Amino acid sequence: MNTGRSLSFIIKTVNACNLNCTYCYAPKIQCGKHQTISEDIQIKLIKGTVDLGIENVQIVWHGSEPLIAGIDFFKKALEIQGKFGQSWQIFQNVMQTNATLIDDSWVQFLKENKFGIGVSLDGPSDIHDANRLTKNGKPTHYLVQENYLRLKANNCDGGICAVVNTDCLQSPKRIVDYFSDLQVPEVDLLPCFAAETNYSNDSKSISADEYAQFMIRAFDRWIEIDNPNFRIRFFENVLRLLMGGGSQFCKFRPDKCSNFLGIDTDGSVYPCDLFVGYDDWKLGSLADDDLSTILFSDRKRAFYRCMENVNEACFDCQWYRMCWGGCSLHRYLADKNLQKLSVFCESRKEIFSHISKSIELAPPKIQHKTLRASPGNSITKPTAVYIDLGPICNSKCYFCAASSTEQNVVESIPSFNISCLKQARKQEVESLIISGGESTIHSDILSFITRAKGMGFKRIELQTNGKKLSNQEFLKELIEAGITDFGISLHGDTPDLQDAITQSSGSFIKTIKAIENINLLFGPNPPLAVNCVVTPENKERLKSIVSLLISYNVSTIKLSYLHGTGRAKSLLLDGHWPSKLDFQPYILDGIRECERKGKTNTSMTIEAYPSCIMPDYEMYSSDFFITPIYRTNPDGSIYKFHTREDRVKGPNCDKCTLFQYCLGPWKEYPDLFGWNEFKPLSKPIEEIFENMDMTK
Amino acid sequence: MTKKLVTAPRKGQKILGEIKKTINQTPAASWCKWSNHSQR
Repeated sequence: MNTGRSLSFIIKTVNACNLNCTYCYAPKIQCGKHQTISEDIQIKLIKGTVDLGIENVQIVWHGSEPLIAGIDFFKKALEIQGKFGQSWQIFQNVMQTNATLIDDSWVQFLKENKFGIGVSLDGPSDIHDANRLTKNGKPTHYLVQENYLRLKANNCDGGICAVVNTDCLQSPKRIVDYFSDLQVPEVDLLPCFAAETNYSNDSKSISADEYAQFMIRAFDRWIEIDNPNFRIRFFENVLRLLMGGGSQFCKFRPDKCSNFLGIDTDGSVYPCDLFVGYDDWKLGSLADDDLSTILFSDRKRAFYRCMENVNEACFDCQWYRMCWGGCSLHRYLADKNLQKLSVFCESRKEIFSHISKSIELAPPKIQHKTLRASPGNSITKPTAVYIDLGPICNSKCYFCAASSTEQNVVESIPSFNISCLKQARKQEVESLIISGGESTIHSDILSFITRAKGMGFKRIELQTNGKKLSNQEFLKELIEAGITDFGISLHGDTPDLQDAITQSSGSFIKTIKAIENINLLFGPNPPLAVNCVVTPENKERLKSIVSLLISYNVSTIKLSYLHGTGRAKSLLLDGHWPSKLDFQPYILDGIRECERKGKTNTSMTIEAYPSCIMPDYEMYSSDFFITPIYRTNPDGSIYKFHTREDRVKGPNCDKCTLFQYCLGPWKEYPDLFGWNEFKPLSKPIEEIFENMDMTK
Repeated sequence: MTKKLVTAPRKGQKILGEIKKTINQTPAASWCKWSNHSQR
């Protein structure tokens, strides 16, 4: 199984150091009595990455001082990666060191094995040597600078981590000039913030405001030097965000800590290295459990939920789409509560505001994926085949358009479907959508998917209510078989609502757990779309449902109007079902919530909702993106189908700007509700496609 | 006589120009930026 995801492990390699820095946060353990992370833990870690399908594995060898472990330790570590890793995995190793122990043999080893290097160097000698001393109190600046330059001369590319402490506050320009003169390509300026650790000596600690004042002056000098080959990570990433790009820096990314785990010397696992030592957030230990157990543990789930639930005030902050609520630890430090504002909140705002004004760029607004998509109506050749496995289901949604019948296990998938897949492959179709009923209850679903993958389907989407995916082992089996994308149905934001709509007790908890499992396994940007049918029971909860789905990183949120087939037909015919216009205010609330809270990867569409019923939000209609597909016949043949065939246009539709893009309502709709609510749009099409204000 | 309007150039032209070249690439999250080496 390869999920294609990346994960970084920041490993506390050894718990001892050869220096005695005044501001050090690590426990003081003498060399010789120290502990080094064991081979067994490393083997479990690498095996765990294979089990979880992690393609890009980054291992940051952190300390105290990792070089104390010796070259042989790292030779063995690379051997373990080679022996227990898989050919589809890419390993990156990074050494974060004080560089005092670097000699020719280390340079050669690090160079040969392409380690990334981070060296701790605080600036000019007086600033560095005020704190970074040997056990005997001797200065280290000369040695560190010399060894850094030696690494650089040998093409051991690396950067510098500098700790901004009380001794730096008067010298931001001098520090920036020092690194510029040293021709350092990358520098990170990290605050010495006592509350950031359990162990800190706070005599050199600075306040959040002092950090802001330092960074503002440092930025002014950096931008004045204006050398693209001299980058300061914090500033470069702020500029990227202001220019509409993405950030590499975890603290400025919506996915936050999802890409990281901190591993302590004894194998204890934490959400990130900054949390190491905070027992509240110890997720488990590799000494006792495997990595998969820890990743899917209740503690990890709890952290994930806390991390995602940022303070409500953040959503109305103009900097939300840069800081995304702030570093989880900085939120936790505010009263041990991850839902509090970050302790660096005001400090960040001040720095962002200064940089924004300096380069005359406003804070970023949401960039909605739909705005970048091409209208699907222009595509004529089907690119996907849709396999309907029949109406059998393990839920009983009262509005089901497939007239599902309740059953928990179904024997085998009819063999004609295999013939249909072969026909589709002959047409060079590479995308497969498996739907139902509930596809996961078929006893041979895994072998069916495996067979489809073997035929050459590159993208296989599973449409499901998700209940069976609450078991992470079954989820892994589906991915191993070939599933690449998930389309899940969720119609409520609480157990009462979802269970009532699906007429299935416990369905909310299971479906949410499935969504969570997909998140935990795939990490940021999970291949996950969720469909919610709008009903009289959930209409007032749409805003909350959208909010919930955003917090679960759902990439596409679809709100759908009832399709009057199957059981749903009688609902429409009895005359009590609300019209599209009746639902309009609630749907618009949902869209606005998406625009307020949506992340970089969030996309939203409204199905079977002509644009004229969504004033100012016309582009949210799914009609723009629907492409033709192949459907199947019981004789094993396939035929071309477009949703357009189930839709109908009204008498005034040809006067509408969007006539050629809109598909109209489901064809049974006008017979019941008439055409009065559909008004031709006169707004220029360019305005709808390009000039929509996404911040309303 | 017409007075010529002079606008100060935006700061950091070279840095901004370099960032602009890669602005459409979504960078992978990384603990530290100087780690873009693959072992195998």
